[in-house]
Amino acid sequence: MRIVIGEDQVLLREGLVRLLEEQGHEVVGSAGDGPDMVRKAKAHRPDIVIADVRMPPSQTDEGLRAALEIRTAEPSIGILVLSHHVEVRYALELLADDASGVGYLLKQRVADLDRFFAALERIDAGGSVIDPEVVSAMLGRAQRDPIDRLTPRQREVLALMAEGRTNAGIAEELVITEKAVAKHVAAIFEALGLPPSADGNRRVLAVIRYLNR
Amino acid sequence: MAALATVQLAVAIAGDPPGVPTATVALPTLVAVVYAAAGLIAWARRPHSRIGALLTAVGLAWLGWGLWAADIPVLTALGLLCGMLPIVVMVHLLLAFPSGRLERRSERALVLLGYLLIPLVQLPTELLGASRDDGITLLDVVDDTAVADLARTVQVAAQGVLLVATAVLVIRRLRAEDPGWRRVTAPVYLSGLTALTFVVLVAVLHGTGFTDAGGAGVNALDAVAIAVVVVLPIAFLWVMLRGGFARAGELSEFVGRLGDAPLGPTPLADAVADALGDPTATVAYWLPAERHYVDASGAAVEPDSHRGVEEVTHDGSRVGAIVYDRRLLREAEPLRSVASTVGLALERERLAAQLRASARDLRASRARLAEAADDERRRIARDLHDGAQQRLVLLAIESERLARRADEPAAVRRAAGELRAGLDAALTDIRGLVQGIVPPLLAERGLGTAVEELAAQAPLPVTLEVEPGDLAAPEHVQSTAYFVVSEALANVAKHAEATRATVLVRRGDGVLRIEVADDGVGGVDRARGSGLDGLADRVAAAGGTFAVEGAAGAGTSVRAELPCES
Repeated sequence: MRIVIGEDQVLLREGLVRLLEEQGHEVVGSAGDGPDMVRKAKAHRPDIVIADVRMPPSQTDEGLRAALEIRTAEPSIGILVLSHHVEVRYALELLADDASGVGYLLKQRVADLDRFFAALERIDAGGSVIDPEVVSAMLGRAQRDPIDRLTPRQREVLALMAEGRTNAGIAEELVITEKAVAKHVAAIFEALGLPPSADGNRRVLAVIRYLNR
Repeated sequence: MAALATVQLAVAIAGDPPGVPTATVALPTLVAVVYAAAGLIAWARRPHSRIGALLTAVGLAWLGWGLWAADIPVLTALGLLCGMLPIVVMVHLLLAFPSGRLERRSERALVLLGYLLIPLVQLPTELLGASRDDGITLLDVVDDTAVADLARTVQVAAQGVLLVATAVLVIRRLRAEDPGWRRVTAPVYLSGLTALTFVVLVAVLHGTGFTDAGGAGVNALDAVAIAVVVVLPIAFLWVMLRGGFARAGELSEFVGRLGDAPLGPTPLADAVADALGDPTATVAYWLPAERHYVDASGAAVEPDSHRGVEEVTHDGSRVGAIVYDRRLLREAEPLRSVASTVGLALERERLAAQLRASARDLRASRARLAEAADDERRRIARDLHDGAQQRLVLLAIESERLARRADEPAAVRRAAGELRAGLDAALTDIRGLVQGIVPPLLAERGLGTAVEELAAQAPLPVTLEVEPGDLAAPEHVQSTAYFVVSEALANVAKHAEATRATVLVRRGDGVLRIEVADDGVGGVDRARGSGLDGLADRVAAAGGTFAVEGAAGAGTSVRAELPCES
């Protein structure tokens, strides 16, 4: 497959290029910073972009932001983000809209060559690859009560819903517009993982979750 | 002086020049008396300043000029020759204010030029002024109207130039002064310039001063001119007798105030400022070991060209100093009397100031150490990222390639595989290490995001009150704040038996405020080494404050404030 590499650590970049070419892939561009990587990805339209998170010029999460930019501009390009450290937050940002053709791995996983090449194939095929570290950290979080992730205002709204108030009643109580209440309610449904459905059960379900804590 | 004025007035009135009312004749005498009175008062109160003498000189100049009205030709001629003298002496006075000395070369040159105008312009003008119908013939050497007019024009122009040049110098001086000083001196300079302008204006309009050949009395312009001219010496006196120029007054009252206990540093400084009449005056304390002065807070007193330092001794050794504005206090005598009075009081306070100074130095050096330590931690994390981590990943890749080479003996391939596994473990160790030194998320996304992540990872529900946009604090402050939240949350998880926690991070008023509260069992015992001491130390090193509250059963709240100037 055709690949663009964004990696500012020169030795590692050269190592990756050699590795990929030995495997029969074509490295059509390599960049040492975020903007250059975006430029080369847009110019070459590769199958996959392999991006390091921390890159110049800002030496922060430059590569991640560049990868997200490429994904927005060219959704068909697969993205594999590599880093010496993994962050659940970055994984969530990568997976936010569409989990297809995305990967996020520790750099040290590259040395496990079979899994690394398999990961590239999976991303190219539209699948996703997430580092086991990230997965276990996410599982740790998933056990948490979703109601705790609500903002204080959302919790107020939910408490009033539990009292049986209508949106209009809640708006009056909190001195906000009814439209704002509707937005809070939608955010609550989403946070509690209640999918839109034809019947009005979501409100009841949300209240039950709240009261059952 | 009074006798001189009386004689002059008598001579002038007796002269009774034709067509000029007595009031006009008496005006120069009036002006002269006001100047001389102000000058003599100033002279008596501030014998070392030349301002009093100069004010008196202006009075004499007016008296001299008033002689023109006399009916004795010699005196009249003298009066006419004094025509420009009041203007020139007033310029001298204005430019010499407030010290009494002409301090710049440009100012000395202008005043010299002014005095030279009298022999060079005034005298020829009078000698050539034959066509004037003043009936005074003593000085009229050349009888030619054209020449006389030309001479008159030259004189008017010279006065105009003198006025404009003075205005330029005064304005230049005002612009160079600092605002506080400008507030004190501007009224004097401006009234002086106004007075000068009027005198010159009147002289230009009337030919010779207040004599109006066709006039029947004191006209409006003359009245305004007189009023303005008379205001000037009063302005000088006013500025000299209040504020900065007040004499180091009631020493007995001052000594009495010193006796009032307890006397903190500020009352002492206030008493000194009052006694000297210099609102900016204060006291400084001598640190013999460091060989410099500090203020009451222990901060070093920096030298400043405007600030004078009068040493204060007690029992023969230096204990401190009075720091004052050189421009307000030019006399040594009042300073010395105040300095000799405050010795004991200053010595009493000096030890406290010395302690504050060393505490201050200590705080500053500890904060520098803390900042340097944080810089060092971040550098180590960066070096590991760019160096060891990269190399180990490459080595791991090479090991794996070796392990997969079909042409190598099985034993080599197995050993290479084990090597890769070992490198993988080393990389995992380094990852943990870097996470502990400076969490990558903190380095890459800043405090707001890093704290959100801490809350998300906590094993209990955490409510966040964090405004990510407001947290752009310096890196070492962010590191300390992160450490506080992280340790406090770890404590909550370990000891609090809480069901929920709240984390607040907010920036404002020059501090970053951090609060981690829980609803757990409370009853913190810091003596038992709960890790809170480490937190307190780290916060204190960053110059911040740290507090823990938590009665048994009432939950625990950890609060820290870190200085964080934007």
